[in-house]
Amino acid sequence: MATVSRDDTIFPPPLVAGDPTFGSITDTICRIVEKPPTIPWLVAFGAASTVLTMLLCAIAYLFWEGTGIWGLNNPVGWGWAIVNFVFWVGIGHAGTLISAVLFLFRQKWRTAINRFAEAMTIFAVICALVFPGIHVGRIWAAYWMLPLPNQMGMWPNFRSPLLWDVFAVSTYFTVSLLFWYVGLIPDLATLRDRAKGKLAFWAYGFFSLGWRGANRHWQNYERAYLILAGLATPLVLSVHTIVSFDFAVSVIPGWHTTIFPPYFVAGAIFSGFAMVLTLAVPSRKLFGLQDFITVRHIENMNKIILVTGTMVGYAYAMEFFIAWYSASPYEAFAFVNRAFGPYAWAYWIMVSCNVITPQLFWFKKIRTNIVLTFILSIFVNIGMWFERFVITMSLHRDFLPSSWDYFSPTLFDWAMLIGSFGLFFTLFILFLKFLPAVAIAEVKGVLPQANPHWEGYHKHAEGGAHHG
Amino acid sequence: MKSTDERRLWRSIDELQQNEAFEKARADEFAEATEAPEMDGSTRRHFLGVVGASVAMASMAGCVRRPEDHIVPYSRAPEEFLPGVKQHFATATHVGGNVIGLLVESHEGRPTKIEGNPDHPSSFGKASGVHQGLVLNLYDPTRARVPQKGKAPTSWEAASDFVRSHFRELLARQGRGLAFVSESTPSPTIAHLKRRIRATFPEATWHTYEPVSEDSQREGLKASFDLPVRARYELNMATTVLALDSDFLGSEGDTVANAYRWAQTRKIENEQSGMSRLYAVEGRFSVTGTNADHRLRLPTSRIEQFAWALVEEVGKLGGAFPILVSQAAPGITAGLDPKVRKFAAVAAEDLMSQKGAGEVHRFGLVIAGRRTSPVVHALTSLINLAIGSQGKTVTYFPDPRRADDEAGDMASIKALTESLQAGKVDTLVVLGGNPVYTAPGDLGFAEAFKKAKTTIALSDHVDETARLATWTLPRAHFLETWGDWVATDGTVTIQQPLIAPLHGAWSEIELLARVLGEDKVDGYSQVRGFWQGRMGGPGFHKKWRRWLHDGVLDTPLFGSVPVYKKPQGLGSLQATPATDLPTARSLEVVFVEDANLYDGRFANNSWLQEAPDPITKVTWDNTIAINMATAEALNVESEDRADLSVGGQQIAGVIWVTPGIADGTAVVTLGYGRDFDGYLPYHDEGKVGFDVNPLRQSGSPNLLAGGKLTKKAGKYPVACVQRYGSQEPGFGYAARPLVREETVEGFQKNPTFAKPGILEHGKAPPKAVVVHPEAKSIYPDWDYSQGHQWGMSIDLNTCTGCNACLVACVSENNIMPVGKDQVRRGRELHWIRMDRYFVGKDDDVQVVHQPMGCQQCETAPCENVCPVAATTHSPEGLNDMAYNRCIGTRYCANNCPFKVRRFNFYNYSKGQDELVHMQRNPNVTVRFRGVMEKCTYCTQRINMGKRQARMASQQGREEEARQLIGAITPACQQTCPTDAIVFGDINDKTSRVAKLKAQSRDYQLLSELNLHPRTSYLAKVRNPNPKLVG
Repeated sequence: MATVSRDDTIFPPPLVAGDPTFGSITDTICRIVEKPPTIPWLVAFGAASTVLTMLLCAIAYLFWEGTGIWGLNNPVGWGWAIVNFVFWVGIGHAGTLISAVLFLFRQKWRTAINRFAEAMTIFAVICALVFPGIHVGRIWAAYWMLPLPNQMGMWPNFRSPLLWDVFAVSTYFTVSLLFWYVGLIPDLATLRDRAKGKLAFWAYGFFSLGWRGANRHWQNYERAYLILAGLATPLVLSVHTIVSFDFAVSVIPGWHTTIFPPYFVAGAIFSGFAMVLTLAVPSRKLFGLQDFITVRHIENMNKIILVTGTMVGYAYAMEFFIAWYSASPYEAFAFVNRAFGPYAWAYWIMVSCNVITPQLFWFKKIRTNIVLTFILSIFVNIGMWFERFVITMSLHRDFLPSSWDYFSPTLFDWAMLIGSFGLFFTLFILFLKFLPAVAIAEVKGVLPQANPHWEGYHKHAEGGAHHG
Repeated sequence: MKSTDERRLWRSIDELQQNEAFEKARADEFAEATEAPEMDGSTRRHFLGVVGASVAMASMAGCVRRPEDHIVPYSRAPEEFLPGVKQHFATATHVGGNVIGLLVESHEGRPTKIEGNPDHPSSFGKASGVHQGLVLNLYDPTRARVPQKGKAPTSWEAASDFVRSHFRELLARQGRGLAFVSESTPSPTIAHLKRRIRATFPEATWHTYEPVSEDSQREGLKASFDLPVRARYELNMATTVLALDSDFLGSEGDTVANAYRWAQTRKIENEQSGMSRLYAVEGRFSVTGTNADHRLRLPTSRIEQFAWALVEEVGKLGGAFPILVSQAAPGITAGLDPKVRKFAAVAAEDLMSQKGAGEVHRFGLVIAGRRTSPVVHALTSLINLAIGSQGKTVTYFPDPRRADDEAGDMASIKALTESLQAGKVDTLVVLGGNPVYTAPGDLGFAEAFKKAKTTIALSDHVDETARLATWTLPRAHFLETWGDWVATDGTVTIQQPLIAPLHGAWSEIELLARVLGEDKVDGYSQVRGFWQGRMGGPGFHKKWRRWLHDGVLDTPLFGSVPVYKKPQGLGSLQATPATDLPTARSLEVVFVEDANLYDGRFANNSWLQEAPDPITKVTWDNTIAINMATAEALNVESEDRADLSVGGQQIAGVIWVTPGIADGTAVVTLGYGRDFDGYLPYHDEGKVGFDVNPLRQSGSPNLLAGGKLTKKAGKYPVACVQRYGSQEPGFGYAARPLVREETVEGFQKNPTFAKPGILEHGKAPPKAVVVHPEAKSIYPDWDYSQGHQWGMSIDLNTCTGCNACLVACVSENNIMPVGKDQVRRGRELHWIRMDRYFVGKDDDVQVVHQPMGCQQCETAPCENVCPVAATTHSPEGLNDMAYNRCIGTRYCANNCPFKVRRFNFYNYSKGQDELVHMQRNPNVTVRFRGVMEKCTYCTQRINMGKRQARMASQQGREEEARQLIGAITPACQQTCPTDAIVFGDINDKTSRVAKLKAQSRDYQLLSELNLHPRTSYLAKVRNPNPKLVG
């Protein structure tokens, strides 16, 4: 085919490769769950849960000793805990974006990756939620941030961005969880129906809420899914906007910036997609899902990374411009200090990873190269972590030079950063084993067979038995 | 009562007539009770339910056996004692022979805080950081508690028996082989006992040894006056002061009184006010040097040459000198650097022009420091005479610290070592002090010490000396025992104890009384007995009671020495020949007492260890400080490990680069590297700092030439509380207008110079007033025009950077020391950060100080970001902290533009000995880990003042109530020796703070952020001599 591109435009290649049938799709995806765990899975799970154990031990020690075990100091009151929080919340963006926004825009290619991405969202937000919980000095009183009636007659301070954060992130988490769960119901019913063991039958049966695939069920399901998608879409924008308020509402040079909300949202989508790729590329290989998560999916995601990466780069440039244009010497200094001060190394890691590397995706060869995609996605992950680090470290030099200091991480900072990946991967690996990693029902919906006017029906009607 | 029923019930005529006053009273009757809680739904029934549940829970928990406690009621209460109300007692102490009168705060019998005694001439109601830190020494858990015979603990009876029998034996031998070594103790009772000991044991020798020696002053002035005298400076009358390597504001002599009086000449109302001028010539960088209008960096060894040049210059202007002196001068000053010569000439002219110039209070003053040679002191006294200042700005008093015929410190310790080495001493009594640690290294005192058969150490700790002694007797803290001290000007104060010895201890007086075999050996009998013998007579008891109450005796012990007329012994002084200028390869090593630990005697005091050095801002360590040029020449930088060797001795140390020190000068600090059991209970890294005493030489204890610094591999971590020392942020950005400074001339030209402060991008701070547009809030502004509104004014013109406020704050507010490791991590908890900025280029820098506590912003950025509303604004303008509401998000600290909030990263009070708890101020919460804390203008004191005022007001004493409000004083203001900090009600336009805030020098920091801070600063004005500028 010499004119691939034109054909692609008019007749897009099928979303699912390998000419599957409804039955083969069910089989392929359910088999992952039904088979006994494989050696690679066990190794991966063992490794991830070990790292998770490290996190739990570090948290236990933190509870026992106090936040002093981190490298925090007087000007730098927030360190890696907050960096990790913002990082994980950012990761948690792609899932809902892919699911809800692409769903509303009828982007059918999303079906192969949306389950994946949603699961990633849930787990990333769980990782994120760990940090604001444990980073406070008196953990046993952390619940005072919630507006619970109490004997002190005290409400939380509704003017505090941290409080807005509590609401924004918890709302986002709840809606994302519901959205994911509602999408899971038909597939859980499929697993229930195929279950051989009592426990699996009972568990999948409990969570599939009596799904029978009735017309009425489907109608309710479709409506609920649409409503949740509609609810989740603005949340994608709001949650990181509000997370950015933690910084933007303050008075600290380098934090007090009106560009933060859009910049944070773009960054979040950027990092979210990078993380989806980081996870999808090995898993599709591991579980033989190449037919579902095709190169086309990967290329599409790479395009989004290119766009959002460029937006983030624009934001970096604009921050500098505004710092100069504002004529505030404190602001201007903060940015020059970012690029050339003690944390210049972090700044340039951020710029290289977030602005320069995504530009490689202008080339289709690179966009469609699985190995390079994987490597570049990891670069973006690193870069986006450093972006949050660079922003948080604005604290180290603000108004009064007498208060300036330098933050150095301790062993426990590292343990908690790495440990949070342990938590994430443990959850993710469990998800891969116990839940359908690809939305079975939805993928079936985008098969050619799902189209009532599929030419295959004629073929089948004319000759041969109907199957599928 | 709008009822129309004719037959309604009424309670009083007022009610019947619906009198307005009654209506108001009725409405107010349950005013407090009728304030509904914010959250409704808590009914009586609900309350009973909760109570019932709580009781049930409590009874389950009640299975734990609780320790039995007895509550003892004050059925026979001590006089004038009300539980919960603090008391103050007058007492006194001394540090290295410099006496200060104190008032000590006591809560339920526990002394908790040391303050100055306003009636004492060395205090004026102020105290330095070191003095205030002494209260912690009382509760030091590692103090020696029981007598030890060798290393074995024994009983007080055994110790007592031993002393009696041992000295009875010695008595038979006329005291042959007996030697005493004491600290420099200006105590009439001790002097009296000493005289009796010399009479009783005629063969015994007495050595007075103070490692931070004032030998050269004593020797130099003795040459002039023919008897040992010491100087007291009436700085409040001095309009031009020249300090010759003297840190009279920081650590030499009566620093508190000096600073207090000097500040009176630096306080200015407006641009027309006169102001004194301070010149400093020094090799190190001292607190005094940072406050100088002109500072000449000159190697310490060249100070003498400068003094001779000054003699010449004063002589040229008509100052009269003995012919011996004026003839010698030209030979010594030949080849003097023209720059130095010019400085001397200008200073001389300035000093001479003050002499009798029209007004009564216009006098110059030259002050020579400890490290200068005796000649400098002698010349200084001559110059002061020549410029007409003697008897005016400087008065000389007899030196009560040792007998007139006694040798100086270094000669004494040397003589003692020699006698010990020669085996002439069988029994050595160490009356306080720690000579094994402090003795100059060349003497080999420790080895000699072991030669005496019996060594008795009266000691605070089982320290270096006590460890080698055959007997260790715990020494009583000054708050535990009786004594008496005489200040420089002869004022006597009875040292009155506030508490019985915590572990049993003897004072010097009590030990000496036992040595003499007295019947009544207790301090009270001894001290009271002495004074009764001296000033007794009818009504003595009443007099005694008044002395104790006032803290000063009504008559001084001695008066000033008459104005010197003729040099008696100048011929005995040899001018020190000028040596080569020191270089990086041949350093001049200058030994200075530590600003906090002094000679090391306070090494176990964590407040003082953690108080930063006023110049280097280093805590928990001493350093080898060199200037930038020297560091460059030696290719070393701060925190480099290095060996310093001089005169065949070598010590390890750490380099700290400090601009402003003379080229080729290495400043080393005494008092660190202590080595004894229980050193620093709060510190888990073992030794802190480096012992520099091995380098010292008894012949020249403060200054050695030919030092060599050898860089060693590796870094030594230093805990410095201020890493960045300039107001210029770097990258070519203009200096931030934090400490605003002008010269007198500039101030006169532009009285409002301090007002602009908003930086413009890439430009120097503006000269004209830039008015920041008032930022509008969407909320209506709070009305602060009603009631008391607290504010503070800090005069940067008189702040010397001495740390007194910092320690006062620690003492008042139960601020925990955090230890070296935590300070290094940037987690010190001091509510007042003493900001120090270097101004100028390279080594020719000036220093400005800025105490930085919470600024109490009216629109505080910290408040709105707290998710749990733990920090909120009071109607009186305080930025309050509710510790028990704080969950520790640290967001407030992040959002504080001044970074003055402090976080308890750990539970810093954990594991502290219960003894230390006794120091705590019961009116201030001890903060747990995870809680933010900061300055609240001593809110506990404000509330106490308001309570008292309200009581007075309720009894109709309105004027007294107003005064009580005006008398509210935070701890920092109370102790500030220069009264640089003034707090008060800014709504009361007659208050001092309101008046200060109305001055043209008043400015607020970071005003462009629309913070409206309640603390404002009075800009610094320096008074340079136009002839030296440019």
